[in-house]
Amino acid sequence: MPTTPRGHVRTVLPPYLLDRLARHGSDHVRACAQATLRADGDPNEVRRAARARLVQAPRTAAAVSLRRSVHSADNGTSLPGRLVRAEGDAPTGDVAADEAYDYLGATDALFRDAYGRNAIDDAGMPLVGTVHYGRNYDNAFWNGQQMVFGDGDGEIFNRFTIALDIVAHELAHGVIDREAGLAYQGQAGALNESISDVFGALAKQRHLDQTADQADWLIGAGLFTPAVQARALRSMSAPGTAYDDPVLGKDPQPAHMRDFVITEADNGGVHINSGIPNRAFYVAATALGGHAWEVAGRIWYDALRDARLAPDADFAAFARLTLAHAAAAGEDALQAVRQGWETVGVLQ
Amino acid sequence: MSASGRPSPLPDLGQASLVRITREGGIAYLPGLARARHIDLAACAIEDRARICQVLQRSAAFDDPRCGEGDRRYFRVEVVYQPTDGSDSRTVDFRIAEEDAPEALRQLWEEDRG
Repeated sequence: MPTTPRGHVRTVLPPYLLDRLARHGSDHVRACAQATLRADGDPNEVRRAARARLVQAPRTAAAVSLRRSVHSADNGTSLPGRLVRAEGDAPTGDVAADEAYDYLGATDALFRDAYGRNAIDDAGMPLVGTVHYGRNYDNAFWNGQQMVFGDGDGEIFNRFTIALDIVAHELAHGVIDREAGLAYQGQAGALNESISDVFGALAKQRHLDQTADQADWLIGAGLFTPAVQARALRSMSAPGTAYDDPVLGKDPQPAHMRDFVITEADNGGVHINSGIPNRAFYVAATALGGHAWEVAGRIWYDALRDARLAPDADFAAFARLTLAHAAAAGEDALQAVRQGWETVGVLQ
Repeated sequence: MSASGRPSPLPDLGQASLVRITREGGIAYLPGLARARHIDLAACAIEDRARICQVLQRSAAFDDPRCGEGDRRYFRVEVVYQPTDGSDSRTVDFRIAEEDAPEALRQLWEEDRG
């Protein structure tokens, strides 16, 4: 795609990376990695084979620079807090810390292996997460430098690391900040939220090796306790249906532009109107079928990186960019993406 | 001046009649959890009014219009006041990042929400 740089690997791949490539790379990369892993003998032979076979692969091998660190705020609010697990360390036994570590890795794998992105800033920025933030803290956020996760109150919310898509959503905010810098207000803000949901969902689907029709398209499934009537925070396939509960209220997300919510709350409804572009992505991805991160996700990623995407972009501006990138992916992709935006009333 | 370097967003609080405090932001908008704290300043005892206005003035120093980015939570304070020129009442609002908010503002928000 025109705006996506395509670097080439000129590095030595460790066995763990080959193993991951063998499971999660593109068809070509999988074949190369599997062949490499089958080769026995001394490690140098494995390395030589890896170098020879993957020399033209996308920048997947940048995975060697994945650097995660998970910290604990120990129920305080100082960041990043006490380091509990650095890259390569064994599991800690602290469920939240290990979930954060694993899910940051799964999210990084989506961006790195599927899109050739080297961490949040595409330059190897360390992934820093803090768990046990505050007391009974009901939120997760990206603070411009790192991801932060609360434990939840235990009555309505479970811990915020429980859902891979939530962890990925926060990391994606960092990517969006570094790329389009979408304003956090109105339609641009709802796009910001929607794109975070898209990559959150894709990270989960890729981790579970799900096709578009196998996925639940829920954001935050498992986050609520059984005490509330809620499936998740949001539904990308049917916005407005994630919860309906006396305590939480009813999911306010619209699924179509005719129901666009004009409000001063929530930064102009950034977590409300994101339902519209969320459903557009769901429609496009399911129309295409297969793994959503491969074609639909790639189109959204390329549109996010497109220099023409302005910080104050509205839904229609982003839709037009996705069409431009879909056209480069073929007629089926173009039709599917157009169908998505037309279904939600963003394009006529 | 506020934390953002801007002039204080507050009007003369002697002219203020109503205050509304909400905690917003976070990873989702959950309408049932977004209840606001309304304060009718005109109905407050003089001591309460003075205490509330002091909290507002301290909080306004942390005004940051961009504080909700990346799912961060924040407090939004709206103040309805009567301009001294006799024109119709107006509303000003300002935002404070949750981590910057004075404890007194948090307590004010938690008091008797409805």
